[in-house]
Order: sequence, then C-alpha cells, then structure tokens
Amino acid sequence: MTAHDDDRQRRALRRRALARLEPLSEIQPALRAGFSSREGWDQYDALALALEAINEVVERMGLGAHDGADPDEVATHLAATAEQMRPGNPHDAREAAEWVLSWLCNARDGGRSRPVYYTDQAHGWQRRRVDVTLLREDRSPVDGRVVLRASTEAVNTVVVALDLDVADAQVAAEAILESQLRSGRLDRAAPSARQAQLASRQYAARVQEVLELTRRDVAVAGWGGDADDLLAEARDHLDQRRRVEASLHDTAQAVLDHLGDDQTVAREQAGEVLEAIRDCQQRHHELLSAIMPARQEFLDAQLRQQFADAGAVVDLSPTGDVLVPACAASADDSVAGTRPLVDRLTGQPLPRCYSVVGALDRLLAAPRPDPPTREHPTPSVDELTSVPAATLFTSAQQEATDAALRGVTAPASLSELLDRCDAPADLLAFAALARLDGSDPRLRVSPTGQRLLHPLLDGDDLELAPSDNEDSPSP
Amino acid sequence: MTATDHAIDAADAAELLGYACQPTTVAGKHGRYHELTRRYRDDVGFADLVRAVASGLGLRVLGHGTWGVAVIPESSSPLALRTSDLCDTTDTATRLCTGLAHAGVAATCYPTPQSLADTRVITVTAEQVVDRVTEACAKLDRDHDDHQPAVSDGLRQAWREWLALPHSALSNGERLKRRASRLWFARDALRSLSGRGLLTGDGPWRTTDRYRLMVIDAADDARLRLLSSAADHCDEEDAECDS
Repeated sequence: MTAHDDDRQRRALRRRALARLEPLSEIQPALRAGFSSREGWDQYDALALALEAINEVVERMGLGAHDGADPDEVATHLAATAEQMRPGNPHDAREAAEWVLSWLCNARDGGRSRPVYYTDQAHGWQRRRVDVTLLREDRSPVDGRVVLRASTEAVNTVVVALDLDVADAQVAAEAILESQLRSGRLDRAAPSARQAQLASRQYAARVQEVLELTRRDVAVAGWGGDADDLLAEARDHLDQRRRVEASLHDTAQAVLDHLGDDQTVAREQAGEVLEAIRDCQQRHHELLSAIMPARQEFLDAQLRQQFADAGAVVDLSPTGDVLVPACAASADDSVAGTRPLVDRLTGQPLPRCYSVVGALDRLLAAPRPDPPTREHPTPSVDELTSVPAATLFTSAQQEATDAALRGVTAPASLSELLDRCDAPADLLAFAALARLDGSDPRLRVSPTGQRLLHPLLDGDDLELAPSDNEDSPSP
Repeated sequence: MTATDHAIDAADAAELLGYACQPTTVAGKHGRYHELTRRYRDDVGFADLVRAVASGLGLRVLGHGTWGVAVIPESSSPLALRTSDLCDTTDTATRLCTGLAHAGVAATCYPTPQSLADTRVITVTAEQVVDRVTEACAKLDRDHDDHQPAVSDGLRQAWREWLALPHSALSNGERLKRRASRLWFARDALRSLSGRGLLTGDGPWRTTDRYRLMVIDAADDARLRLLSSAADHCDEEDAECDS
C-alpha cells in the first residue's frame, strides 16, 4: 500500500466515523423542530444532554454481555442536568431527558439501527450504508428487565478518538499520568487518570463487542480472522496494562503517603487518581478473565446455538411452594400460577411434522378387535345363582368340587378347603354357600364371622362340618 | 475444511431442519431461515448434509421454495405426528371420520394427478370437502361388499361412520356441534391443516406449495386413490346425467 493509499484509507475511516455520529449532529435541530411551540425549550442543549447520557450509560455499564444501565436512573440523572440548563421546570426537564434518550435509542423506529449513507473515498467514492446505534435497549437475561447499553460508536464519542487506536490512546494516557504523578502535578494527574479510565472503558467495549458477537453468532464472528487477532492482541495489551497499572498505583500511593494532612486538595486529587487506577485495574482484570477462555467459549457457543437455553435451576419445594399455595388460591389463579412450572418441568414439546400418508395411517387404522373371550370365564354371582353349573364348568371341575365337599370329615373352614383342594375356587365357594340353608343332609355349613382368606374371593368365611347325622353311627 | 467447519455446517443443517419443522415460519419473513434455504438451494454439498441430518431424525426433505424447506416424517420418526395430535379423543368413529376428512381435503384440492402439477393457489371450502367425501363414500358403499380385500377395514368402517352422520348439526348456540356432522369434521381438518401452515385462511382456505408437495408424496396411497377415483366416477355419472 502506498502512502497515498494509506492517506486515502485514513480519510475514508474518518468520514465513516463521522457518519456514525450523524444522529448526534441531527439531535439539536430535531429537538428544535419537535418542540418549537414550547416556550423556553431552546435553552436545552440536546447535544450536551446526549453526550451526558452516553457518558452516564458508559459509566454504569459492567463487563457482562448484557449488563447495562437502568433507563430510569439515567433519565433521572439527565433530567437533573436539563434542570440545570433551565431551572424551575422539572417536568419539562424530565420530558427533555426522556426525549434525548429515545432519540439516542432510535425509539421512533422501534429501536432499530439508523441507516446512514456516506461516500467511501477509498473505494472510488462509492455510496455506502452504515447502520448506526448509539444506545440500545437490551433485555437482561438474568431478570428480564430492560437495560441501556452504549455501542462502541457511542463510547468513541466520549473520548473523542475517532480514528485513534484505542490501545495506543490508553498507553499514552498512562504515560502522561505516570509523568504527572512523578513530577507531583496532581492537579493535572486527576483529569489524566479520568482520561485513562475512559480509554480503558472504550477498549473494554471494543473487546466485549467481539466476545458478544462470538457468543451470538459464531459464523459472523469469523474466528481465525479479526476476532482471533484482536483477542490475542488484547491478552498481550492487558497483561502489559496490569504491570503498568500496578506501578502507577504504587506511585500514586507513595505520593499520597508523602502528602501532609493539611494538603487537603492534593490529598483529594491523589485519592481521585488512585480510585481511577483501581477502577482500571478491576476492569482490566475482569476483561482478561473474559478473554482467557474466549476460544473455548467460541467452541461452546457453537454447541449452545443449536439448543435452546436450559431453564434456570431453582430451589423449589413442589409441595410448600406450589401445591399448598395453589390449593389455597382460586381455580384461575392456581392454574395461572402453576402453569409456568408445569411448562418448565415438561419441557418444550417436540415439533411434530405432518404427512398425508402418516395422518391417514393413524386415523384410518382398522379398529382393534375385541379381546378374545376365555373358554370358561369367571362367572358373575348372578350367573352362578341363575345358570346351572353345568353350563359354566366342565364335568371334571364339578366332580372335583363334589369330591372336596364329600371329603369334609372334620370341621374345616372354607379358606382351608380352598387352600388344599383343586376344585375351582368360585365353584367350591358357591357350592358351600348353596348348602348354607341345610339342603345337604351330609354337611353342616355356618358363617364363622371371620373374613375369607383367598386371593381372588372376598366375603365371610364359612365353617363346613359333617352333619351330626353322619357322625353318629347308624342304629 | 476443518473439523470446526464441519461442525458449523452440521449446526446450520440442523438449524434449517428446525425451521422446517415449524411450517408456520416462512423463510421470506425470517432472515436466517431465508439465508439457510438459499444455501440449501445453491450449495449441493450443504443440501446433501441437510438430507443426511434429516434422515437421522427420520425426516425426508420433500422440496424447497421461497417459503422454506418442506419435510415429512417417516412413520418411525420421533417427530411424526401421533394420533392424539390429530384427534383429541379415543373414540373410534371420531378418529375414522377425522381421517376421511383429511383424505377428503387432499382429494378436493388435488382431485386428479394432473391437478398436482398446477402450482396455483387452490381455494377450498368445508362444503366442497363434505360433498367430495360423501359422494365417494356413497359410491364405495354401493360397490364394495364386506369381503373385498382391496378395501381396508379401517376405510370401510370410516365411510359407514361418515354416511351415518348428518350433513350439519347445530348446537344451542347456533354453532356446529362438535364431532356431530360431516361439516364439523371437514372444518376441523381444514383448520388443523391451516394451523400447521399447510393451508392459509379461515374459510375459505387456500393451499400452500408445501401442502401440494405433501399430497404429491401421498399420491400413490391406495386409500387416497380409492377415494379420488370413487369421487371421479360420481363426477362422470353426474356429467352423463346432465347431458
């Protein structure tokens, strides 16, 4: 690449960077146009409020992919700033603050990116489109609430480093801070420390964007290309930052230790510097922890993208937390309350697929035939009492029953008899019952008051005994 | 190609089949589905991979279009519909009449083999389905005795149940009484197919290309052929009577 090409690339990069800031350049005219009829609204500096909003969101953003600022808290902070611009109108200040936030989020277009067009000098003044997002609303995966996050473009606006290498900017800021601390210029060191802090946030946002992109769509992240290089560089860069920051921290601490108690302002400035350095250290530590497992994360993301998120594990007592409250609630409330749990427990239903042949196979299947009847089905009590035994039992079964009853030579319970003979239990029981009325002169049958002991029959047990006539010898 | 590339392709193939199993999702309205469908169309290797993954799930790819990719399950697939997905009762008569109504919708939309080549959208009403099925059932009942092996027991009992039903039966609220008439079964089948993205609308209904591909796949089914030919014959008889 020639020096001329390089220059052209730089100019194209700057134009592109400015294109990304177009929503900011349009915000003041938009506020004027939208609120021209409202008295005193020209006192609100929409651009200043926008920068303040971005700054506030960046400051509140954590390192997690979806950590973000609470929109209400940001709006409250912004309203306070607007109130300073035009005191005495808190309602208007709040309205202006919310309008600025909605502009930055492009709420008018459902929160989608704004398409901005520019011409690309590096490629023959080709017209190009860039989709710009400054702030966006994300849903926190933890609790589902809406949070605000700033894009990399938005973070860039805070440090105003449009085409500056962010890593270099950070090194430069630290070098300046180091120099100021060593020379004891604490009044200048405090703003430099804040500058270094912003540079570290900007850097974190850039790395995070790559990590998040990887998590969201491994195919787009282009592993092995830019993402891989950026993360490798980031590891080295952060390693170096940790060493430099440790040294800066020691220097600042030493400066603070040497300050007398009466040097209040200087002590405050040194404290501010220390706090900024600690903030950088913490952020870089977290960032390094996020980068170290990035390659593994990439591989995991591939697997994860194929499956739905696993449900959160909850420590739940089905009885105490679900059943008891559900029983106490109204029917509608208990259904509404338990349905999410049931859905969780039963999981996602499989997406079943239709086919004409499959549907006809299942729906037009021949009805199942009735189950085959037994040769000698167990008769019901009605059948036993109304149908001659010969129609229900074989002659061999009837003979076995008669033999069992004839074999009663000493008092015995029906349970014992059923236990020791081969006759069909239901027939034997019926035969014994039929003799309760004393119709058989050889057998005396009477209830015992005990329960019949048999796996298939139920009812009172009977005592069977040879009749007295039989016991006494014939004269 | 690295192992990672293979894994990414397999993930893409599975993702495409995931969309295909949700036929109410239309590729034209869904960027990722659209992108994967285009890849299926343009990349022979990827199309082979999609078919292989589908085969492992017991699915068969029928075809594709701007609407996405159409798949149908083999009977043993864990993704195949169960009877309970099509009919919410175990009552045999209801099941059989539901089956006849589903066959009737296919036969009404595509009454002849030639009609299957017509890619235009077909409009169908529940009354048309009832007429088609009833004519075919009457003819089958007239021509087939209990011992003709060409007719399955299920189909035979189905047409008898169908002919035993009234054309329509209203409940107190002037709505069609559930499972009590031919019209209810026809409407139920049409709504069921509409719910699965195979038809559109809510009376009259309109066919989708996906449904046409499914009926083409079932064109050799003996029950469907018998139903279509019986109805065709009725049409011919009617035509002769008119002339």
